[in-house]
Amino acid sequence: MMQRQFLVCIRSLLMRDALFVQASIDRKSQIRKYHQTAPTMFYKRFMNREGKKALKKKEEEDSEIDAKLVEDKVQGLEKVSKIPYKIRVATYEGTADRFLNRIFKQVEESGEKSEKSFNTAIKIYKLNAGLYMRGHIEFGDLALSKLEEYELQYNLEVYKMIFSIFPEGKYLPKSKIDAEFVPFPRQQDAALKVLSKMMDNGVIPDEEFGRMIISRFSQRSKVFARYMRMLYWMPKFKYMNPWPVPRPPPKDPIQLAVMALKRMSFDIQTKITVVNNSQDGDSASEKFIASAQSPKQIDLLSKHGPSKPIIVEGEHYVYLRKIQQKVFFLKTDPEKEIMSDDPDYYKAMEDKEDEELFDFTTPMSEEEQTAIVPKKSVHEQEDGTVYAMCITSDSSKESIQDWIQFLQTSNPALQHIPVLFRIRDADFLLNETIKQEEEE
Amino acid sequence: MKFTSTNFRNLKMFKASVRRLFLQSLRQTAHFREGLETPTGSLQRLKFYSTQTPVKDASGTAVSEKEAEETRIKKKLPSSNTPFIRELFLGRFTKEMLQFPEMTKEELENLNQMVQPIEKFFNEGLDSKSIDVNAKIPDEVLQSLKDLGLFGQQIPEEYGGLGLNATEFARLAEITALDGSIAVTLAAHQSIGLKGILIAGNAEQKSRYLPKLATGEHVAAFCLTEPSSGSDAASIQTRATLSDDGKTFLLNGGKIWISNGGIADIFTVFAKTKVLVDGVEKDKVTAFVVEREFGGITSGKPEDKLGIRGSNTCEVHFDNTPVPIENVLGEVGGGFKVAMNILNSGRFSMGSSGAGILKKLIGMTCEHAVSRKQFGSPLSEFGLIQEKFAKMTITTYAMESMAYMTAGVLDLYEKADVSLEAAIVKVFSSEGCWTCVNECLQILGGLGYMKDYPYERYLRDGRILMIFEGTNEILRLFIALEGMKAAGKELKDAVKVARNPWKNPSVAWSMYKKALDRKFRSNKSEQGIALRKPNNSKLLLMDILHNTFKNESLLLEGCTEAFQKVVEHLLITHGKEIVSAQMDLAKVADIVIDLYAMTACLSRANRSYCLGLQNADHEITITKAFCKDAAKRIDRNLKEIYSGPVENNSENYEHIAQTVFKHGGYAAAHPLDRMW
Repeated sequence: MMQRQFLVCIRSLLMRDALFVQASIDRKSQIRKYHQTAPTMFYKRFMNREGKKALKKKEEEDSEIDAKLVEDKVQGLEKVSKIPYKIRVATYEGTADRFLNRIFKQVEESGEKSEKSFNTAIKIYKLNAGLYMRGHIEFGDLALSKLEEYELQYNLEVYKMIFSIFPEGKYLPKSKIDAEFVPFPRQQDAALKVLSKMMDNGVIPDEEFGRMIISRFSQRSKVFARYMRMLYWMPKFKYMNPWPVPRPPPKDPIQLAVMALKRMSFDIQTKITVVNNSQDGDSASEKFIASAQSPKQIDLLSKHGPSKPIIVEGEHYVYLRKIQQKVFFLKTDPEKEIMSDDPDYYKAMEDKEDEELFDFTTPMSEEEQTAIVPKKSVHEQEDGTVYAMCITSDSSKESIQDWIQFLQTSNPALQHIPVLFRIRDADFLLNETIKQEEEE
Repeated sequence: MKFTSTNFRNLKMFKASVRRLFLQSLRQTAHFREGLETPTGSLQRLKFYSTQTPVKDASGTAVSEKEAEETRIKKKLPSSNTPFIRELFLGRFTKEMLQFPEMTKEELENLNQMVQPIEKFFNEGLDSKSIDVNAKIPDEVLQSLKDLGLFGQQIPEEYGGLGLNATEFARLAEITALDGSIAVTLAAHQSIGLKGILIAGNAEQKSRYLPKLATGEHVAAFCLTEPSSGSDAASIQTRATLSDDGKTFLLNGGKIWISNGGIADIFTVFAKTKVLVDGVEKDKVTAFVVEREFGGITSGKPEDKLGIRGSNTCEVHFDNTPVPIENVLGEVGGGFKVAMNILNSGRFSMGSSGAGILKKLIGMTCEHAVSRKQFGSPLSEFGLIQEKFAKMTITTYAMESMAYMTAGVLDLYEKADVSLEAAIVKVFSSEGCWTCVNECLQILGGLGYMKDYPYERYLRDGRILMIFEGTNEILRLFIALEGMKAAGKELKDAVKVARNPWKNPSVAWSMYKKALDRKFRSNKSEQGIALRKPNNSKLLLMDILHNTFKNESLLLEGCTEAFQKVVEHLLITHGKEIVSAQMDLAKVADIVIDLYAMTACLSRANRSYCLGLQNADHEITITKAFCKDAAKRIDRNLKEIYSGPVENNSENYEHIAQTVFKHGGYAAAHPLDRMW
């Protein structure tokens, strides 16, 4: 009996050893595979060893083969076939970058910069890169840098397209421990670059993107961790801004001006009117005045006596993400300067409050009731009452004068009130300071 | 009451209880107040039920004495009452209110005689459905209403009216309310339309207009609401300008939603006039009596409404209508007071109207619940249905008690101040009416939803009660603010001290201790703040009430005490900002409403039980149930007020509402929206 148990023990030990051996063999073979598939590092090292002369001969042979291959494959693709292209693929040209650049150049030559042509470029690369997807990290970087040019930086599908150039199943870690040591760091970095770009542009990855990452780098990769973090945080911040600027932001200056004014007007009833000077639809050269005023402001302005002047104050800056605009305000000077260190002022206020404590009259007992009184509107601030604001196309003094004239139509009271211009010209100020500095 | 001497282990307790029983029995018999020196002098003026013993009536001299006494009371009404609600805000309980007002035997007999034909007419001779469908009250019906004298109920007899006092008027309103359209038409005519002439008119105006209005030859309307001013009556835009000769005013402007606007001949119109106040010209509201014959008056087409469809509601426009200066009601510039007096005096009857509707509906629903069988047993055997019926009954009882108590106080004094009480009755009864009719419909199930049956009409008609004659929201503010003002004026100095803790550290420290005490006590005890019964009763309410209500009287006392404390607390925490703490004010109003309802129920049930009216034990159960419910509600409201805006959610409500306004509607994302 004992003997038998002993035998079983030994056998199991042996079996475990055998498994161990098997595993190590597996790993070795895979490592070998890694060397075969490792793209550019290997390729560059190889290039350095061979020397330039030897390359030239190979290049011509390769290019002929590859070009044929590509043409055969591409003809089957409907989308791609529409764009005429001829690729003289020089795989082993001086650097990989030049080869990759050429793809985009050729695509751009044959068509405009659009999502379609961008996709074509990626397809061409995929077809060209061959079995080993040579230079796909460089190509990824390049494609990312081209995104702004093509105005595709807010398009999730394009990011997926770029991400698809990473080969499936090649960069998976062998085990949990392997995963901890970050295998294929360069490839993972390249993939992280794609995700970073998405984050910068506020593009939230979806489930399919996650699947793509898992099939390429596995769940235990840095890439997937970043993806999860993005999925956690980005949706939380997506609607954080109560005055969202659309992606991409509009190019029309009028739209931008209206958007900025809307953001600044806290009164819900504010009406924004745009006065257009030119007739033709060319929005870039158009002259306009966008003016914001609410009924409450009109009411306040009508109560402003003609004795005190109104001030046009500017220019103040307002930003919509990175777009700067100049705003002008029509407002009053502060009514009374409150001296914070004047104790009598506050004491008088307190005494008055104490005296009037509970002296209110309710709405159903007295005609002039004091219980329900309207609150001070948002327009009446400590530093003066704001009556209107505007953004003009060129922020010139003439345009502001036009604006005042325009306001006079809806605010007849404004005709009798003197308007002072307190405009500080940013360029003028800048020049002044430069002069001063030079003098010094 | 069951007790045996074995229950009392010590002699002292036994003695005390015997004394108590003795006193109690005395209280129920005749000679308590008269024989003993009355402990509360204020009670003398009230008729005391127990004094109406047949002993006196037996002899003829006693009767004549009684009559003489009655006439004396009638002639010399005390000028004004102590305003119950305003006093309540200061923690003072006017105990006279626990004596439910009574009518004399003759008055009651007269009233019952008057009621009979009217009740018959409303129960038999009226096709409310066709009135509702055709949106018009037929002329014959109006004529028969006029013949019954219903168009001049409160007009004195010398002008050809019925000369009813408030209680009698409330009793009739109970019946006329059975048809919403007729009730509103009548109310618009006499509760508000011609009330101005009654209250503020001079002798000439009265003799000129009242006779024709009393017979119904002329119909009156009340023109206050304008497109730009609803609850805010002082902001009306209609103008009256004095002509050059100073004899006529020219009226210009438009009024909307005027009941009887299309059929009225006499309008009580409110318009702004220029008045010199301390040498400065100001726009002030003035009331006018305007006849249609003056010219320049056009009425729009009748509005199509949800309920009270038979009543005539339309726009009325005044275009340079000349009004002679004699037709100004009250003073020039004193119109706002007139308007508010009219509205205040009309509100109390809504309690009895609501009770009238509900009593009929409960009867009809009861029939259904008894006869309708589901799962083999009638609905009346289901606990859930029983609960509904009980709650409806309680609400109706409270409504009725409040309405008649308020009316009784109105009758007892020459210039009774019941504006707050009337507002309370209006708020409680309009909301109670809505919820109870709603429950009735629920009990009736599908039947209630069908247009073939009258139930849904009551629901539609009842909805207006919460809207007109001052919306319930503004009335709540009115109740709470008026009370707060009264309390604030008296407690002003104390509040000032309490609001300045750095100058008065000792006060601050004692307040802090009190707050701590309140917090721990409310945490420890299962019972809440209000439900705590006082150990030594200061108000001695149970001395007035029957011993059956010992518990309830203690509850009422506890609530009154707690209420006074919460008023103080609010005044101290908010200071002058109290006017804008609307959510707290609404809770205060709710507490006061419950307190008033409790008082009314207790005093009525007490009377019924002491006199031994029919089903008096039923009334006792109702009152006990109501007091318990009310105390719970009061307790919840108190806790919410003490817990502050964060705990009681009012801050959240504010934020939510602000977001909704900012986004111009419902701002939450759709539940099916996706992020990526």
